[in-house]
Amino acid sequence: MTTRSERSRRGSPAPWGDQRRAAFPGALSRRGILLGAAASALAAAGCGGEEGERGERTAGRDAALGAQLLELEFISVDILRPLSTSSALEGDVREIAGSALAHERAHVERLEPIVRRLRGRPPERAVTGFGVEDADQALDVVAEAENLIASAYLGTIERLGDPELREAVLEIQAVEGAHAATFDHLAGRRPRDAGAPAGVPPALRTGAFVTPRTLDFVERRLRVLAVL
Amino acid sequence: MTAHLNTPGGATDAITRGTFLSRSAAWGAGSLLPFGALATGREAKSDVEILNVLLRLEFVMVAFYETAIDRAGLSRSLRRLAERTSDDDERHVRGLKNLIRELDGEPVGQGVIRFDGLRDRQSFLDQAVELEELSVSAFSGALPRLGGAPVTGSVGAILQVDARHAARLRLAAGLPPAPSAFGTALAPARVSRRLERYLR
Repeated sequence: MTTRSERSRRGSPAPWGDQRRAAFPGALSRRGILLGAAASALAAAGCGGEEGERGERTAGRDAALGAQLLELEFISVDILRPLSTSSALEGDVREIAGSALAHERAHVERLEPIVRRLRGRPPERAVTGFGVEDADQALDVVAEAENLIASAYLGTIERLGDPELREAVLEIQAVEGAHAATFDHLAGRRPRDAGAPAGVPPALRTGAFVTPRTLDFVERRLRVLAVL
Repeated sequence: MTAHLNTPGGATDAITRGTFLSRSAAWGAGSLLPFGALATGREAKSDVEILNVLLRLEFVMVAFYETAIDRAGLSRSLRRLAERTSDDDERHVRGLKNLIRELDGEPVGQGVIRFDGLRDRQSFLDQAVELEELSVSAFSGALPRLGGAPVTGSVGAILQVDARHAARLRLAAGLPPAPSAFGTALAPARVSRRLERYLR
């Protein structure tokens, strides 16, 4: 298997405090953690008869989040499909793309019934304008898409209330990370850039932590990438 | 306030501290007993205990790569991969230590770590893949047992990087980079048992 040459260079490390702030988006100060717990306790104490209403709101939010994740999976399926059959790519690269495609389809099968159970409406299957005219460019797009999708899963975990949806997201997110690394490698992208978009100072492109992203952000980016 | 810098798109696209607080509030009692715990049957372990298991695992991985770079006679490209992976794992060690201290806990020490049979490319790749996969399962198993957004966010950010390490190492070993559509999870107690073979 050939890949474009890696140009990995080790950036000078930033002070740990900066790195941590850059890479540990969830790492609040201790005060922050205590405030969060206090807010939760207050919410719990005040809920009373509103529990049912809140449960419905949570289910509605989960259904919406699950539907958005499903939409990302549909886009992923649609851009991996031409990659898995393109003669512009070497056989083993096509094979890897085919395997990733099968995974994404399995993710769809896992998420779709959960969204329906939560009374959400699964989105229409995406039909993108993505095609493989240039193998390098196509691999770049898929690598970027897989990185975005992985970061969206990471950004979603903490927002989910439904145990089954949360479990599914936990099971899927590491696999999306593996896909991202795989296509980064195939596209010759520097591993240290993983999760760090253009404009991030080199010292902070350590790649040691993945940046969580909102579903809205990722969906917007994917729509541009995949020519939806 | 945005809690990280990798968001040139602006704070609206980042996960913010405010968001974390409001999420905690929205979870209500759930934040004290996480949903994942309800689903999976939580072990009676504190966040600090769980994070210390993960820290011990990252210690083992850093020591593994250092040993391999010294002893396994790696090619230039494999050596570079080992160095990069080790750099990331060192950052994970520092991150986890910080997180534990922020929770008023005491990070465990590194202790004495030993690797047997680490002498060539194949033994390096076999053990590296095994360790990175153990790490992915360990972090996946830890996530639903942890007590809330600030901690799970940090652990998730590490988990995905270790999944990337596993994929890169599997590729280097000529194996499928992502062998399954779904990840597996390992409970902290089982992770501790798996680590025993490396700890003296």
